[in-house]
Amino acid sequence: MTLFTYVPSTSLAHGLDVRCKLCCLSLMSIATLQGGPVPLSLITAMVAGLLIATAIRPLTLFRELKLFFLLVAMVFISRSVTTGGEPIINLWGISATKQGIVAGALLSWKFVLVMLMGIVFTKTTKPSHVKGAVQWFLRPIPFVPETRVAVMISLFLRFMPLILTQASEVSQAQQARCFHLEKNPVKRLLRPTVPLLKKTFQSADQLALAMEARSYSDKRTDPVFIRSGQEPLILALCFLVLGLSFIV
Amino acid sequence: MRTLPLIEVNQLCHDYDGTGGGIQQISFRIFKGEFILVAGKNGSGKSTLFRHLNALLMPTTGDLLVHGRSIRKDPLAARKAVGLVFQDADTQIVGETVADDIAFGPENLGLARNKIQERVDLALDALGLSQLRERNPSSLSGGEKRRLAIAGVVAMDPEVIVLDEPFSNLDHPGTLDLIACIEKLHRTGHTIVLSTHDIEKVITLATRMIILDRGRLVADDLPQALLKHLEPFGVREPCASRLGMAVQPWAS
Ligand SMILES: Nc1ncnc2c1ncn2[C@@H]1O[C@H](COP(=O)(O)OP(=O)(O)OP(=O)(O)O)[C@@H](O)[C@H]1O
Ligand SMILES: [Mg+2]
Repeated sequence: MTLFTYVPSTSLAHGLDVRCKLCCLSLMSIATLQGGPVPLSLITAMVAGLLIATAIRPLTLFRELKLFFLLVAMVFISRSVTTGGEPIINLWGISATKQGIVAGALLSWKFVLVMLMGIVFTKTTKPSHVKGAVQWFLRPIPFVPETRVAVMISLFLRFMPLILTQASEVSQAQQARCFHLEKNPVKRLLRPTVPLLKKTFQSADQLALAMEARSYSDKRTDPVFIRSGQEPLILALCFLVLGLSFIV
Repeated sequence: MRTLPLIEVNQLCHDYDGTGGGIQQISFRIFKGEFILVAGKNGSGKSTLFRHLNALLMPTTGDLLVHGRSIRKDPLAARKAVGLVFQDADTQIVGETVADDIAFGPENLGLARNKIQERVDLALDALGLSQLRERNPSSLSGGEKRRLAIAGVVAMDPEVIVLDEPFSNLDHPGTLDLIACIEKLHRTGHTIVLSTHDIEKVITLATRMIILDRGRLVADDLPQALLKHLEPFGVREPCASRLGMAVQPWAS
């Protein structure tokens, strides 16, 4: 997965404060999900500009998002055949309506846009900064241990690849002993999970020890945020687009 | 002649489950600037002993003093004075980038941001990881991971660095790099305690050697003095010594 990993650079989106970026992301998502074609076109132009700045090759984009586009296509098809209205295409007794196609296209457009925004965000933001921002947003909420949540996020980010590697190792070790010839579906499911769970729990145990050895505590140094100074402008722009999406 | 010991282990016993496993009646003292090699076969109690040194485990009976203070009373002081590097590097790296991981310990100590930055830079430099500071730890080689694990401890600025089996799973160049780093840490004033069952790699650096066998301390002397008495305890005598020659240092 190269699409959802941070790539260091100096573009506009890279320089913005994470907290501002997260706000913009939510504002723009709301605008996208409830706006009509006019605000959608505006947002598309903005997202396209940011995508170009991050220098992702369109081909890579399509390849990595294959499954997502399949999903979008399915949404489009089901929308076009289930919405009532004036039929224009008729195949095997199922008809797609004009209203359905328009609604489906709009919905697919929104899905793709939100997805692309997510990509721009993850491409331009370090995971550790996201963690810091989450901690910052959680601080005013009582009874939420924000430092603990932040550490959990970073552990999740850190250990997901490790668990996946272990999973593939376990499955390869079992294939080496011809496990793929096993017919019983229950066994097929359970056998690889047992060693994997055992390994994961053992690692978790050792990890807890190692964190304690490094004096882990809730009273940690606070995260730092770096501002580029363009935050107010960008935030104002996002609010403008959001307002527009309600009016037009 | 010598000053106060950094660490004093008094009749230390640890019994995991009441069956007499773990370690028994261990007593010795660690002084500033020493390089202590702890040898012994699998299950002889090396890891158990090490976990007491920075208060991760509490003694069943006996006591352990760091700077004259019992770890029972002041575990945090022990944890600040003694940095422990575990056998498995993968499960002790917690950050998403090399620099983040090194900052984890200093952040726990609540240091100011610029102080942390300073410590991270020093640790990166000491372990030769400066080129890799923004890399994801899961993409590092085994030797680099091991050095990162040590850097994470060095950044907490402990006086004693305890390394549990630092050479397991390392290839020859990785081992040489690591030996050079450990030697540098020792030279810059850290006290080193290191366990291994292949003593040949570091014996020329060590100033003292301790042998554990079935949870008991069976020898504590200069490494040269113990060379001929290793094999009954399941520790291989270095080849050179067996052939009657002096052991050569491994560092390149
Ligand atoms: N969590 C535990 N519960 C019960 N017994 C344990 C536990 N951990 C270790 N032991 C026992 O304590 C003894 C010492 O183990 P320890 O792990 O300290 O040995 P070691 O010298 O580090 O071995 P190795 O070279 O394999 O790392 C062993 O007999 C072991 O079976
Ligand atoms: Mg051990």
